[in-house]
Order: sequence, then C-alpha cells, then structure tokens
Amino acid sequence: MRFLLGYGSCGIASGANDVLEGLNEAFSGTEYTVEKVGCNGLCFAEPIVEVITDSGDSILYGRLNKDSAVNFAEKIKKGELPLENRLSEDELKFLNGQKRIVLSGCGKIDPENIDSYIENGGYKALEKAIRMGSDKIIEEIKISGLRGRGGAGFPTHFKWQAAKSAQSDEKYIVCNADEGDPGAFMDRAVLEGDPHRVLEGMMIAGIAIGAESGVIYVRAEYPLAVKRLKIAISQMHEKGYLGKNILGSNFNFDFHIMMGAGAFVCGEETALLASLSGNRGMPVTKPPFPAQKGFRKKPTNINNVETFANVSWIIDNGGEAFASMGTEGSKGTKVFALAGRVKRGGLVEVPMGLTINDIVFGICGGIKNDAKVKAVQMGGPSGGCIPANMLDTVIDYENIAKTGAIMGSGGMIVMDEKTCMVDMAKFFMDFTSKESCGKCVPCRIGTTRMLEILKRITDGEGTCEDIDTLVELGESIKVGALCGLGNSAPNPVLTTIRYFRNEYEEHINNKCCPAKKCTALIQYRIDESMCRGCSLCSRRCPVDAISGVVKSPYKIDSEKCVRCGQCIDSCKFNAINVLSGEESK
Amino acid sequence: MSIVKIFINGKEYSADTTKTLLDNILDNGIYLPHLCHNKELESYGGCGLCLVEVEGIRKPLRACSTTVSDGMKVTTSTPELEKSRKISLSLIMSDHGGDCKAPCFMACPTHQDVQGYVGLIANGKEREALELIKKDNPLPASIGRVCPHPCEEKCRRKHLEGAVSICALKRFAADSYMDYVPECAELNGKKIAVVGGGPAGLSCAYFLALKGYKVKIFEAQSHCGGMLRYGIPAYRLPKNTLDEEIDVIKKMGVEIICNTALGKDFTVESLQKEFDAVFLATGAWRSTKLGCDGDSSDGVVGGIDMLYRVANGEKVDLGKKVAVVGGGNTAIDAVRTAVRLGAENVTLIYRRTEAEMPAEIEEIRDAKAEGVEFKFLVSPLEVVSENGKVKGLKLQKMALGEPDASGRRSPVAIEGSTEIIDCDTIISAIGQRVKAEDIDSVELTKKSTIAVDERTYQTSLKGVFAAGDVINKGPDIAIKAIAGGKYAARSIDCYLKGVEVPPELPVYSVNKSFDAKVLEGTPEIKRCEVTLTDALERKTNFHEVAFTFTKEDAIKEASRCLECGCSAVYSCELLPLMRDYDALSLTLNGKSRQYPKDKSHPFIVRDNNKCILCGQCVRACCEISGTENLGLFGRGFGTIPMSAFDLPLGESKCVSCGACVNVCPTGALVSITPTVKNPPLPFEDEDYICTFCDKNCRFTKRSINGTIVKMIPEKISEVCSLGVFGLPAINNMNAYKTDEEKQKIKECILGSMKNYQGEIDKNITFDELSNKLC
Repeated sequence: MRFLLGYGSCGIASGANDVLEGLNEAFSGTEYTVEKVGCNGLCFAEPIVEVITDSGDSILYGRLNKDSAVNFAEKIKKGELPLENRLSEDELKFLNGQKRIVLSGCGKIDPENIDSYIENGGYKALEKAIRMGSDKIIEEIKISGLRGRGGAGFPTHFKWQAAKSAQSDEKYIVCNADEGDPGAFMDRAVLEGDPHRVLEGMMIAGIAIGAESGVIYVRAEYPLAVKRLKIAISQMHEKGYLGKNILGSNFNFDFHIMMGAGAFVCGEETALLASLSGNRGMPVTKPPFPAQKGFRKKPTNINNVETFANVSWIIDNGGEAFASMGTEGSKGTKVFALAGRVKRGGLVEVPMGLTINDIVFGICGGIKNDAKVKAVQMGGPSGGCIPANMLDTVIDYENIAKTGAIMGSGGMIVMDEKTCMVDMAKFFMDFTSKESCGKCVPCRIGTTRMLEILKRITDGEGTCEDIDTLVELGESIKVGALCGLGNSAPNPVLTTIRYFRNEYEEHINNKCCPAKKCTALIQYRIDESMCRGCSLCSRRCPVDAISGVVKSPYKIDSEKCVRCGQCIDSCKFNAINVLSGEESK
Repeated sequence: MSIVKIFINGKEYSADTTKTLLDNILDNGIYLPHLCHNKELESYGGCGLCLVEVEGIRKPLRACSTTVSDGMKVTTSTPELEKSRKISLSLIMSDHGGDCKAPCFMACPTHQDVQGYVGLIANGKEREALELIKKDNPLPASIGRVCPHPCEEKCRRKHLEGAVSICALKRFAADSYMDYVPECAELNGKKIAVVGGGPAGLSCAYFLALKGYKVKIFEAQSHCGGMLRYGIPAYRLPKNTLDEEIDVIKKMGVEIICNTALGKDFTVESLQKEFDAVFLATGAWRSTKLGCDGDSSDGVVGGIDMLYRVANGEKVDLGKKVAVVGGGNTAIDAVRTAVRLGAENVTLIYRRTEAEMPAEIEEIRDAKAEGVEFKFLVSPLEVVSENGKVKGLKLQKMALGEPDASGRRSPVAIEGSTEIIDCDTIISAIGQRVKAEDIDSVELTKKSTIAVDERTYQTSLKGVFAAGDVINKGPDIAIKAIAGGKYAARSIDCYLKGVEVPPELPVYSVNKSFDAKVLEGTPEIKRCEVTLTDALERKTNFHEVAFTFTKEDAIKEASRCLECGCSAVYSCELLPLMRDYDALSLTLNGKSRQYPKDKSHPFIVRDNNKCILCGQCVRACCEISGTENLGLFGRGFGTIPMSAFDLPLGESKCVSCGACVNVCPTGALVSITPTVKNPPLPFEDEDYICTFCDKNCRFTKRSINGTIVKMIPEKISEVCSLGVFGLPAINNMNAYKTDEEKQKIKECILGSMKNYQGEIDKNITFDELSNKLC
C-alpha cells in the first residue's frame, strides 16, 4: 500500500507538515512509508493523502490535520481503510471529466526523485526527439496544434520555426515561469510537482531550434519550485540527461535558473528578457522579435511552463493524438485555476471545447452555499468577466476572446451576487496600474486615471460622464499601450461596463452599491424587531460604533462604523442589515 | 542599405530598409507626431503618438519600431489615430507639472513677458528689458507707477517673503531709457481713427503704428492721457512722465488732435468715411452719485470730477473738513489730494473693513501716514445740509454679514445705530460710469457701455472697434485698457488684412494646483521696497512721492525672481502638440507628481515635474554617454528618471556630455548659462563648426540678444563636453568668481572627452584653459 501526501506549497500551507509528522509517528516501526508528491489539484480539500491499495485502487483522504492523520494511520495499521476524511462521491466528481496531460504527474510522482519520473515514462520523449531531429519535432508540434499557454495563444511551432530559422552560433530556450496573474497557480503546481516534465519539454524545444542552453525565469516567490528545479537539474546531470553528448547523441544541453523579483510585467517576453539581462523589467518594441534577437541578443524561444509541459506528451503520443482533443482552433487540454466563490477550487485540466458551465458546475460543484453565480473572471487582471448568462461559452481561444475576456494563463475567478463588479474592476485596475512598468503613456497615466475614476465611482462621487470616459480611455489604452500588460489592462473595466453597466449607473446615479460592497455607499443598521439586545455585536465592534442597553435593541453609529462586517458575522439573530442607496436614507 | 517603395497616405515614396518607418516618414518630409524618438537612440515606444495604420495589419503600429518592407501601405492620419493621439497627449498633460509661462504673465491683462524683463534687469540689461516691455506695453513708465499689479498678486515669491516688486522694476527699466522709440514697420497706406487718447487709445495707436498704420487720435481734452492724466494725481504720476511717453508715440508717427470731441466735432459715421477703421476709447468719466438723501447738495462732488479739476490746474477749495466715500484707489487718490489741497480733517468712509478695501495696501498705508482718518463699517445715510450747503454726513453703522458672490462679506446695517460727522465737502468715490450718449450708431449694453466682442473688440459696426473703460463691463484698471488697445489693434490689423483673428494660443500653468512645498529651501531674500518721500514733506505738495529703484536695488530685486516660466517654452516639442490637439479640452486630471528642481549642475537644470517619461535622457546617458548615471526609478505612475542613488546631478557621476539636455523634448532638462537669470526669450540659431579640435563637429549655436545660451550638436553621439559647454562658458567667463567654481566648471567642460581629437591635459587650470580656448 502506498501513501501519497500532497506536498506542494499549497499542501504545506494547509498543514501537510503536521499530517506528515502524525503519519510518520504512527507509522514508525511499520512497513508503511509516506511519499511526498506534488499538488494533485484538489486544493479545496488539502492537506490530502492518496492511498493506493495493493490492488491499485485509489482512495483520497482530505482536510487532514495531525490528529486525524494519526487516527487514520492507526486504523490503517489495524488493516482498515477508514471512512473518516474520505472525499465524498460528490467531491470526487472534481476528477471526472478532467483529462490530465500537464498535470499527469502532479500528485503522482515524487518531484525530488528523477527515477520516479522515469518510471512513469519520463525522458522517453527526449530520446525519441533526439532521434527525430529538429524538422520532425517542429512538424509534430505543428500537427498537434499546440498554442502558447501563457495567454496569447500564439502557435508554438511558428515560434520554434522562427527561432530555428534564425542564424546564430548561440540560441536559447527560455521558460517563462513568472506566473504573475494573482488568480493562477498551475505553473507553480507543475514546477513543484513535476519539474522534469517542463525541463524535458524545454530540451525538446532546444533540439528543435538548435539551442544548447535553457534558462528558467522563475519568480523568487516560488522558492519550493526553485528548490525542486535545482534538485531535478542536478539529478539530470547525474543520470546523463544534461551536459555534452546527451544519451550518446551529439546533442548538448544545460539549464540556468534565474529568479525574478515578481513584477507582473516580466511575464511579457521582452520585459522578461530585459530582466534576465539584469536590466529594468521593461518591455521593448518589437521587431526585433526574441526569435531574432533575444537573450544575450541571440535568437531565443520563450514559452510558458504549461506549453513546455505539453511537449513530451505530444512527442510520446504523436501530434494527431493531441489534436484529436479540443476544438477547431484550440487543440489539446488547458489547465484552469479555479478560485473565488466556487465550491471546489483547485486545478482543473480539461480538453478544450468544454463550456465554462461544465467546469464551474460539473467539475467544481457550483457556487458556495448554492448561491447564484454572477460572473466568472477569466484571464486575471488582463482578462475580463463573463456574465452568468454566457457561461455556456465554449472554451477555446477565439470564443473566449469574443466575450471580451481572454483565455490568459487560465485563471478563473468565480463570483456570486455578493461581488460588486465596479469594485472588482477597481481591484484589478489597482493591480495593473501598480504593475505598469512606467514606460508608455497610455498604460502609465491611463490606468492611473481609470483607477481614479473607479475610486470616485465607488466612493459615490462619480458623474454620468465617467462611464463614457472609462470606455474612451480603455479603448485608447488597448490600442496605444506598448505591451500586453497595457493592451489588456482595461479589459476588466470594459467587460464589466459591457455586461454590468447598470451597476455602474446605480453607483453613480443612486449612490447605491447593489452588491453592498462599496463601503462609502453602504450603511449597517440593526433591525429593532430582530435585535434581542445580546450585546455581542457591540463587544465585537472594533471601533465602538455599536451602543445600547442589554435586552433592548442596539444601535450603530454610522459615523463611527467602518463597515468591517464583524457585527453581522457575530449576530445570531440576523438582526443587522446592510443598506445602500435609497433604502439607507 | 536597400531602397524600397512604400506608400504613405496613398503617395509613393522611397524608403530605406535600415531605418524605422518613422524615420522614413520624417525623411520624406511628412510630419508625424512623436516625443520619444531620436534617430541616435534605440527606439522606445513610450509616447505612443507615432501610431500608424499599415494595410493588412489589424492594430495600429508604432512607426518608431516598425521596419519598412517593399510595397507597404501606411496611413498616418485617421479619425481613430488622431483620437488616440489626443488622448495620449491629454494624459501627458494631466501629469505635466510646469508653467509654460509664469503666473505673472498669465495674470497681466496685456500678457507682458515679466519673467523675461525681470531676468534681463537681473542680468544688468535694462535696455533690453525695456525693449521687451515695449513689445507689449506702450506706457511702462506710467504703468510702472500706477498699476495695481495683478502680476504681483500671483507671484510665487508671495509664498515666501513677498512678491517680486515687478511694477517698480518695470518703472526702473522705463525710466532708464525714456527716449527709446521702437522701430515701426513702413507705412502701409491704411489710416485709422482713434477716438480718445487715454491708455486704451494710446495703446491701440501705438500697436497700429508699429505695424505701419497711419493713426490719428482725436482727444476731447486739451491733452492726451485720459484717466492717467485726469484721474491719477501728479504725486503718483507726474504729468511730464506721461508727456514723455506720449511724445514717443508721436515720434512713431501718431498724429494727435486735441480739443475735438465725438458727437460735437465729428461722428462715428463721419470717421468711417475718412478712415479704414475706427477705434473708440472714450472712457468712463461720470462719477457715480452717492445715492442717499441730499446727495445733490452744494459741496457734494464726484471723486473723478474733483481729481479732473485739480489735474486741469483749476483752483479747488474743499474747505477744512472733507469726507470721501469709497474704498477703491480713486477714494485714496481723493483723500490724498484733499490733504494736499490743505484740508485739515480728511476722513475716508468705507462700509466694510480695511481687509475688504479694493485699494492697494501701499496706498492705504501712505494715506494713513499723511494723516487721513479711516472710518470703517459706516455707510452714508443722509447728507446734512444747511441752506443747500453741506454741513455734515449722517452715517449708518454696519456689520459684516455673509460673503457675497465675489467672496467679500457684505455689510449689513445695524438698525438704529447712526452718527453724524461734520464736513464741508463730501466726495463720492464709489465708482465711475460711462457717458455714452455722444456715441452714435453702435450697439450699447444695458449699462450704456459699448458692446464689443470679448476677443476681437469689434462693435456692432463693421470696422469699428472699441476698448477701455467704455466697453462691456465698464471701468477697470489702466493696464486692462492698454491690453484692450493692444488686442483691438491686432483685430484691426486682421480685419484690414481680411484674415481671422487668431485664437489665443493656450499655454499651460499649474497655478491652480501649485503646492508651495516645492519652494522649501529657497534662500530668503527680502523684498526691496520703493523709497518714498517723508509723509510730512510730501503731504504739502503734488511732487512725486515714490522714487525709481537704483540700478543696484533693481538688480537685487530682480534676482529674487523664481523663474517659474519654462525655459524651454520656445523650443518645447510638447507645447505645439498640446495646442494642435487641443489636449487640455479633455479633463483627465488626477493626482500629479511634485518634485523640487535640481539646480546643482552648473550647466543643466532638471525639473522632473515637466518630465514626460520619454526615456530619451536615460537612453542617451546609457547608449551615447555610456555613463549610465540616469536611470528610471519606481514603477507605474511614480516612475521617474534619477541619477544613480538619487544624487543631485551636480554631485552625481554625470560627465557633462550634454546628451540628456539635448534630447529632452520638454523643459525637464534645460541648459543654463552662468548669468544671474536665464529668462526664456525668443532665440536666434546659427550654424557653427566647432574649432576646439580637428574633428570640427557641426553645431547649431543658439543665442539670445547675442549671448550664447546653448550649443546643439548635429550628432549628439559625436561631440565632447568642451564642444557642448565650452563656448557658453567662455562667453560668460567673468561670471565665475571663486576658485572652487572655476574648478567645477573646468571639470564639467572637460568631463566627457572621448570624442575629442587632440591632447588636453586634465590638470590644466581654469585660467589656462580659458586662455587656450579664447
């Protein structure tokens, strides 16, 4: 029997170390050992232990802590398969309908042991690729229809071909592991859970374009990923997968890891290259494209982690197999990071062509507390929101783009009726305006001015012209900004105006926040008929805004109240209402 | 290099494939807005103005980073592209903290280049200063004595020890060269009639004469000067000063006919027949009546009427006790005149408090010193008379109520609280009205003033213009009348040439959001006050009270100027784009940045408030100089170029190659010379070949009034510090006094010598170097 403990950053953050300690203590002196694996994507249930029985069945246990882990181990020792902490049938639907390529090793193999990867079929594709040679690899990638998974969806074979065609004594493969979208975490999961898959993909790309050097640009906030990459690279050297004459061929390759300081714009390839060269992370104008003049001014091919993670599968199984999944223009699978008000959040890898509804409701079980879904934000700060009535949109690059959102790196934030769309747009605009590199006027000043207008609206000081100004500015920034960050920064605002214009108008005309989120536009009031005078809210209030006499209704001083919501959370009688607009007068 | 054919806006041109599309467009003589591009620097793509549409490509492209290919079809202007440019420029302006023109310029109705003439005075060039003043003001000696100086109100030095004495400095320059006669254009054969020889009429005549018109002034009085002569007492403006300035206008060919009045000796219609255009500036000569019981009694006189009689040399007896009603400058003129006429007891009656008085603070101070009694919060209720002759004035006591529309607190009567003061004469100085009944055929306003267009000064009659106290809102200050005359002259010129009156060119000022914090650390220099005759001595006569500044005082006072206006106003690349695209019409204002000026470098001033982040200085410092001293700091909106470790430029590792200052498109980095002030003035450029070494680099030599202010290299990357800063330094050798200063200058001009072809010993002393170069 095997015990696989999810030991990615997410697992550790939810208490995997306690679980490990509990299991190790309880298992000491037995034949049982715990294997540390990466995250299997079931973030909603971490810490997770997967039991693989001797007959090969998989049973998942989740939401463990030290005590329940000990309890679990004790029962195992008695020969039982405990029922406590087992993931329910319903929860296991999370895995139904997923097709795992990129995530196939995550949660299955030991990321710190190259043999574990090799046993699961690792580096076979590399061997095959060495035999195939450059042209055939690129042809296979072309057949597969693989497109860049970083967000733009540019055909991968096209980039490889361009870098291959460029004449130079030196070329580079760069892996963009600067996962900057605050809602996406698939790259981290892959790097932590299955680093070899990415490295193998990079090496195959190296053969394809004629590069002997691979650089991984990874953000310093991912220390575990860096650690595991370093281990992986050193083990590759030991096994002869790196260095000169790899596997007896004339192919030479080696890796360098560069850590970035975590600027969002460094995910833009030219800014990434600037940062790699030790310069300020700022995009530069194209042409020249990186394929002509990239890292160290040499032809460079840059792909995202997820793109590289697809490569070995395509070489192993053939481009046709990959292309058999998905839609006309978007082939294969895509990993999505589900977050927000969804019941089962985590990493989902599905074939292209499913609908958003399939993921949100089918795989993730719908909205927490069975609330109504309002919208899904796709593509993070560069993406846009897709309203509830459009969630039957088929997921592929073109269809998502038609809604005004983007596929992006695959972040999906699910929102319910309690989310204020203006506030949400403000949040993302705040993010992008701070992350703007400062180079071009539309992005540097334009996003700041848009943010100022959004702040004004959520503060109840908006004017009727503000919406038009936002649209005018937004459209202009989309056209005029230098790089992808600026080009896409207005998307959250433009899509929320497109689908939720009435919410903007409510804020402006009626000083009302329909979702009751914008603190300047809401008031908390105690319903005297409901209040029993228990005084709990008054004791919880951090600013002493609630006063009264025990056993008679309490009152909230609106001037003092900071709208933190602690009173509402503490009230057992649902006596506190949030009012906005007309009703608050 | 290979040459291909491309199509720009439908026309075929040849293009060089080694150059960017922008350079090819510009080389073919087609204008495309751009602010961050420089041929000698790598393309940047910051400003986003050079967007073009290329056939077959969905999104507009930045021409500065697009390569050309054979047959490429480019469109440089579409409504979408122009809109995008306008928004980009509006965004730039919303974060551009600077004054194209100083607030003093903006405040002056006639828009005199105050910073220019104050700067010239500071540099000891009062003659040039006067020439500059006379471009906008025909009567500087008079105005320099009487103007309530709205310019000083807006002077930023007011936030420190006090405004610069701009008005007195103007007087100083004017008094220094009273005989200066500006050069006029050759007579163009057109004749203009000016009715009224007051400040507006004289001004209009002066500016028309400059343009070559034959002007005839018809003056109803015996002398020209209008209210300057008849309304302002001689102790403030001596008649001979005014005469001298009018003489200059006569010397410019203006004919003056006195003692001829409109409606009596001629009509507008008769003038229209004889002249190509007519300008009316008959003023406002009627005093407003007191408006209380008994105000027609013998001994109640109008302020203007009394001042007129005194100015006209009539004998005026006001008696011993005089009460003057009013709080403006005319009221002060009346009380001080009354004192000089021998009244023993002179009281000024004002219904608000001293703080609300419209009169100048200095005037109030001087009147008090001369023994005038001020009675505040009282309003005339009734003239007390005996046998029709004034005996006293019954006053209603007042209190201040709520602020009115103008922001001043209105006086409210305190019921039943009155007093009576004795007086022999009551002077009403509460305003002037227009006597317009003599003016035929032009349309009047409800106030009986002549209705004119605010911008063109044209009346309802074609070819008939008007300005001064007689138009629209009525009486105002003298400089306003001069401005009216000046702008009416421009309109008349346009009218006679058959062209549209050009719109006021917008300039930009941060006055509204100015934060005095940026002045912190400015060394304190006390304001130089004008010397006055002793009060006891001056109150007995009408001799001039105030003295002209000595040259020493003038230079000292002029040196206090903070030089708010942008040094780059005549070379700025942003300003014309801002005008072309009307970039201030979109209000995208929000937070803005505030940085202190960096004046630590002897040849370069850095003002990051004006930085538009085009990145040219940073690239120049990196790519051309190789110093990498300047770099971008911060992210997003707060991004700003800085020296390494944020050191002041003069203390940083800057090698004074001058590249940054020569690429800056705005006034964020400007060259300075070691003169006291560097007033931004129109410059002259001439081609120049440097002879400091055998390389003989080509420059544009820029000078103002013969002083070299900047050397602009043809190729920034090929010159040395000596070429860029050597000449301006030599030109001002005498300005460097201390050894320390000389050492610093020497280090700067020998800072970047990698392109210098020849031998130069870095240990050479400043004097040896200057000898060698001279």
